Amino acid sequence: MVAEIGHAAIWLSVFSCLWAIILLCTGLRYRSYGAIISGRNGVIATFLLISLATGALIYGFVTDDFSMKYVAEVSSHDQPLMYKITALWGRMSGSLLFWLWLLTLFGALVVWQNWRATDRLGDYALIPISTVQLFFIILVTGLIEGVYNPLARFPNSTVLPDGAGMNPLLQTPSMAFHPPSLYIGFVSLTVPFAFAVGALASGEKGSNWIFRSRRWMIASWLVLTIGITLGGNWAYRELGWGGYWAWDPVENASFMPWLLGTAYLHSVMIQEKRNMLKLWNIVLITLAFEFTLLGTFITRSGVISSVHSFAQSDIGGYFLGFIGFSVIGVACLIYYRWNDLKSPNRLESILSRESAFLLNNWMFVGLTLIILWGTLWPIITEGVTGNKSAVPEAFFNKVVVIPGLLLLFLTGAGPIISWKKLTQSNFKRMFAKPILFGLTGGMLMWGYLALKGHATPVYSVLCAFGGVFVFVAIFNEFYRGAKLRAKRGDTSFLQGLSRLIQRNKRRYGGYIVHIGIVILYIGIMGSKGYFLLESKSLKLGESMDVGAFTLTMQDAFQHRYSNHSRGGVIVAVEKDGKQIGTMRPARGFYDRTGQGEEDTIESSIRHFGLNDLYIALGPLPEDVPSYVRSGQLVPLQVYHNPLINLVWIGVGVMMVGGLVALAEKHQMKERET
Amino acid sequence: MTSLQLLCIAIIFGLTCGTSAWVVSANDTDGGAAASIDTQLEQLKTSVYCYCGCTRETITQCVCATARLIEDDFRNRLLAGSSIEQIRNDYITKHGTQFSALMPPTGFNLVAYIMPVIIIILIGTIIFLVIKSKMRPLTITQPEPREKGAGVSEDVQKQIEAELESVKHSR
Repeated sequence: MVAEIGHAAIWLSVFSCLWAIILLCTGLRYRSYGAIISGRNGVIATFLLISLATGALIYGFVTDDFSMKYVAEVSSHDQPLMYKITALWGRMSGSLLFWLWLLTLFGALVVWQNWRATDRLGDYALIPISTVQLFFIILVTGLIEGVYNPLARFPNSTVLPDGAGMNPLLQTPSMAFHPPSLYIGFVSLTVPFAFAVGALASGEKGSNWIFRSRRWMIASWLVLTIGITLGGNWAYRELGWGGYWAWDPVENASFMPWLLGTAYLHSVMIQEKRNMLKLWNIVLITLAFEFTLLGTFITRSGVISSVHSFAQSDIGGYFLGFIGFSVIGVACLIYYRWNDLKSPNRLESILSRESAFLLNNWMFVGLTLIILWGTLWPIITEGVTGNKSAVPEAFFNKVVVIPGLLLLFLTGAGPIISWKKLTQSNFKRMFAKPILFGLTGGMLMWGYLALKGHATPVYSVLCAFGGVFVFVAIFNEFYRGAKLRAKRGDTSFLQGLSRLIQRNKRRYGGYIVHIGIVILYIGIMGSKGYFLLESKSLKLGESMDVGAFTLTMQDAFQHRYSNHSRGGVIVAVEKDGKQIGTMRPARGFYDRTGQGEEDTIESSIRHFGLNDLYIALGPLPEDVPSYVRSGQLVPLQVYHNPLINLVWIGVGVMMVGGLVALAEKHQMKERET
Repeated sequence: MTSLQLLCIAIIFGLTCGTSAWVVSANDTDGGAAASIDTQLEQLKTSVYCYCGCTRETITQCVCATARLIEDDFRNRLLAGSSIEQIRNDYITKHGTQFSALMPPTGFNLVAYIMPVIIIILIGTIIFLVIKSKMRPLTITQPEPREKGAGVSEDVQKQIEAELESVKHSR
């Protein structure tokens, strides 16, 4: 019965969504406040109906209702409760419903935020939001070929005794957070896009839409950053290849909107400060939104093979169609408002912060298009030569390294270069020290790596130069500002620092993000450039060397859990002749595997300061202890990943900076009151 | 110690270690020709993807049983005298081009490598043109010429003209 209620709710939401679009359009066109209010209520009704449908599906999971097709496909009796709930986004239909629910939630939040607004911008923004909602509602109704209604039951009242279970790869804690955070990041990008479209439709000439959607944009960027990192962390822990980023098409699909969002976050500052780049900002936010859909197309269509193949179906064409529709819509609005988008202000000099931001946008958009090019290359080769070729990780590493390093340098140069024009005194005052320290860092890195036997580490030296340059530049900004505040307020340095950040949270939050970027770059340089990999098969009691470590296989173990067993080996780790602990790499053997593999790699990771020792086990029979103790060889893959923990620390610092920047609006409210 | 002194020490350190390492590597002539079977096997293992179902994991990276079988096959063929190129080509012919982990910048692949450069140059050109069009012109615009006598009374105008005439005559 609950499933039927959910089913009905999805169908009713088609009408509530249409109601919202029509009433909002009519109300805004004929300035009828009553119609606008009714349209807003339509948006809220859509949220309530989709919440009901989502709740009904979760109820089906929790109560093991295997008469429901989707529940039977991704859940099973013995699946832990957490994974029964996360099965909501385990496959295509459910993940589309979850996406839709988030979209309706954000629509309702926009209504709530703008209820007392004196202008109609928020109402204009609700029209594109509702249009995107309608597209997703149609997808989950089951009317479209390729995706079925997640609340649909099996025909002829069939009830399966048990479900197939979720893909074992997805039954990990990080998978409980990685997809939702990515979805939140993707879906919330719709809101700033909708405000941009709303501004175009309403004829709003200023930067009001940017201020109104600023927190949405920062929040979206922040959550997307978390989502991408959680994905990398999941790959690192679960896939057994010792890395966190391999330029997989789906990784790229999530990274491209992030790059465009980051470019937008920088370029809007030029519009805010100098009232320039109005058109460019609209184009950027539109691109960021369209790339979320394009990412979904790449993930779901199956045109490119990926580690995310469990979520494939043939709905890619609909996404491509909707992308075309929305691009044409925005292009028409831009054409209609062309004269309003011209900026009266001019650039004073090529050496200015405005130009630095333009350069930054050049690199971000360039990187996005390069990554898109590499991602689509298999399709291009198939179309031209008839053979589908894979694009290796090395290709991406080669083509992104120079724009990436230039971006690193801009991370430090952007905040310290002056607006309008860089004068000689500004250059000496702000750039001399960071450049000197940067050069020192680069030379020290060159010497250190040469001592370690790396002959020409050009990129590492440039990365060290850029990293130190940025760090000193940003540190200087904090130091000078805090010192000045402390002097003016006659307080301590720390209080001065606190006041400095309080006064301009967005700016200093952004600087903290830049520090996080530097840490992340150093982590990537170390872990990608200088990792060690040793593969060897060992018998019980045998040893192998990996760098400074000696690993000895001591014993085997097997544990039973609710829906799987876990068998592995105990490896003693020695460094410089001293035993420093044991590691327990394993394989997971699942009773029900859904669409996944029979067993999973449960790698063992041990942190040594900023470095990791990582062991993954090769394939083993299910009874691991008997197999190992009978003297059989066990294949081990061991990685030593230097500085890899800086990757996670860097993202942590970026998150702190993002949260500080996100707090900006409260401060504005306080100032207003 | 000033930052300049620190830089000098770093330069000396970097140059000393860097150049000595470079000299050592330049003198190391044992390289390619005498590559052992293990080195050749490693080269092979990183040049193709495993076909077990994993996505884009080279034979070195993949921990599945298939990868180990492929590795054994490669080793046996190398010991039997086959070259790296021969084994690799056979593998790609058998399993498909999508299992090649190398993308040398030759043939049609060259387009893949050239396009990123074109993208960067193209966007750079667009941005340069935007900057150029948005730059404040350096020439100082002349103020529009006022209409003759605008803002000046008729008497004053007549007086100015008379004075100018007298100056001309005095010359």
